[in-house]
Amino acid sequence: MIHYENLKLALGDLDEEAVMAELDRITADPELDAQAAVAACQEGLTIVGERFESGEYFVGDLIFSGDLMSDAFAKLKPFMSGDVGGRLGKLVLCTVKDDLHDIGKNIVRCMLEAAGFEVLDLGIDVAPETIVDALKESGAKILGLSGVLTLAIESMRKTVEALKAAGIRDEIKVIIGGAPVTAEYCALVGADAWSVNAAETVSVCRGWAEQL
Amino acid sequence: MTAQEMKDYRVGLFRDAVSMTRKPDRLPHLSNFWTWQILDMGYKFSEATHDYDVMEKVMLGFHERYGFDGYQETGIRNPQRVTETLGDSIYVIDDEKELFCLQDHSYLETSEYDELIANPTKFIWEKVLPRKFYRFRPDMDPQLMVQCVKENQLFWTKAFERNSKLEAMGVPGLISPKNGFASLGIEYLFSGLRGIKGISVDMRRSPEKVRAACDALDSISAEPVVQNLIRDVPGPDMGYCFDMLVAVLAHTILNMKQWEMFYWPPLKRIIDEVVAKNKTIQLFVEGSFLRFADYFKDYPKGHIGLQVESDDILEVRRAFPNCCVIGGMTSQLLGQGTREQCVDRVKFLVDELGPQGFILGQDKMMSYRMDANPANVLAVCDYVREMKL
Repeated sequence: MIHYENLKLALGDLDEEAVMAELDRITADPELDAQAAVAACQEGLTIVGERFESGEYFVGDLIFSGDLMSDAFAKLKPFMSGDVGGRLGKLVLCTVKDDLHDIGKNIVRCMLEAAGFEVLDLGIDVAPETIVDALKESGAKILGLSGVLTLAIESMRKTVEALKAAGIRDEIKVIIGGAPVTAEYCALVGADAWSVNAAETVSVCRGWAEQL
Repeated sequence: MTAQEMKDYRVGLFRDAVSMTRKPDRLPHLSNFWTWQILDMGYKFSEATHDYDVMEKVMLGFHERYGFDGYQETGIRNPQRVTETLGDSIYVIDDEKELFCLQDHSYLETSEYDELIANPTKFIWEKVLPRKFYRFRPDMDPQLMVQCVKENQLFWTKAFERNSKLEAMGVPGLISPKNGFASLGIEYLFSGLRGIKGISVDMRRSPEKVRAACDALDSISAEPVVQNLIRDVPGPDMGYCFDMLVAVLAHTILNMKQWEMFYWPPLKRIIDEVVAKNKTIQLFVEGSFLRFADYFKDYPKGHIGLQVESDDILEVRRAFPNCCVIGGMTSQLLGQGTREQCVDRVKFLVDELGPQGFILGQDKMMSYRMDANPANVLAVCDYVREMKL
């Protein structure tokens, strides 16, 4: 029987060498359960989030964890048969119109996926109507809007207005995030929640997903 | 007051505030307005950054309209005409959307650290510049370089002319050119060479290489500034508001171990020397800085002006009791609040933080139109000028 605990701990420690060695070991084992390995990686990322909240890790560590997670998934992908994520449902995520920054959004995407969301990442500089279309087509009930520039606040507000105009505002939970975001801007935008860190964003979205 | 007397008065306001023992005559008010100035004066970003007459109208007009005591930006942050002669592609300027930003970029491959460490100057000339400027190549027309040098001369000539005209209006320069601006090696890696993502990964994968690269870059950037400080005569340059400036940006991604490894040693070396020479330093800090308070607790009062962005400035005052704090006026309030709310915020800040050790400023680099309502800015400026401490 394969034990996945070391993989989880190595990922939590952001020990790339140990993560890759564990992956080499378990993927060479005919009893490999790829879903269990992915779950171990996701649990490792939960440790990363906890260490971020405790102050041991910081933003650069989250960025590195995203890279490490991608590499781990790439290594496990040939052994995976079905869907590995999405147990918490679909979520649409993007950087809003007129903002080209994606580092924060990518950290959040990585942590949301690790938490069990199926994330539809629409990219950067995304227009409100594109977001509305994506929500309608995917049936996602949670929307994450990211932005670094204060210009993004106005785009976030217009996006929420577009949700209202499309008649879907009441069905969608909206969280906004990024450097300029504050409680006051959250109220101005008309979002349901705001956050300036990835771990908190995951926590809020998880809470919503469990209620939906 | 004559312009000279006004300039001296304003320098005195800043110097008294930083001393933390002398009460300034009134609250010093520092402008942290950047590209917002261009829009507010009725111009487009591309106009002001490409036409020095327009930039002069922006800066002088902005001072005439608001009358801050000092300016973080006087039109020298974005030398577009200089960089564009060599082909610059990392800036995004969109006048229609009123967007002006820089994309994350990397000019250093992970495999090239040894080359950078061995000779950072050579590496920058031979590797970084050709990657940053697509016309900068070994076979480039030498006239292109001549044109770039001429543009650079023109840029600085115009910058000095603008600053002289501001001085003639009673506005002091913010930072003494004797000691100037220092950028640390880690900052070059963070924002100039590897980018945010690249350096985040490198610090985990190859911390010793990153440390050596920081040391190499510090040897040609921060260390000459330290040596200049060591050679300089003790005491402040009373012609300016501060003696030197360090922009603190890269800490926004560093954990504490990384801060101790990459950031704190060169910064401490600079601050130690500033204190030893009885000078002052402005730390222009992006993001949150509260978690680093312990590193500053042993410095005596009177040397550090700490300009903060996203931290609650009252918490900053408690955490950094020996530093003059700069900031406090939120962009959110200037942009979305009323004039009364903005003025009330000033009164609150003075009650809580004044009269010594506090310089009023904006809590972010004011860049876009919605960052501030001009009527609110005017109300604050007018109130501060009339208010005696």
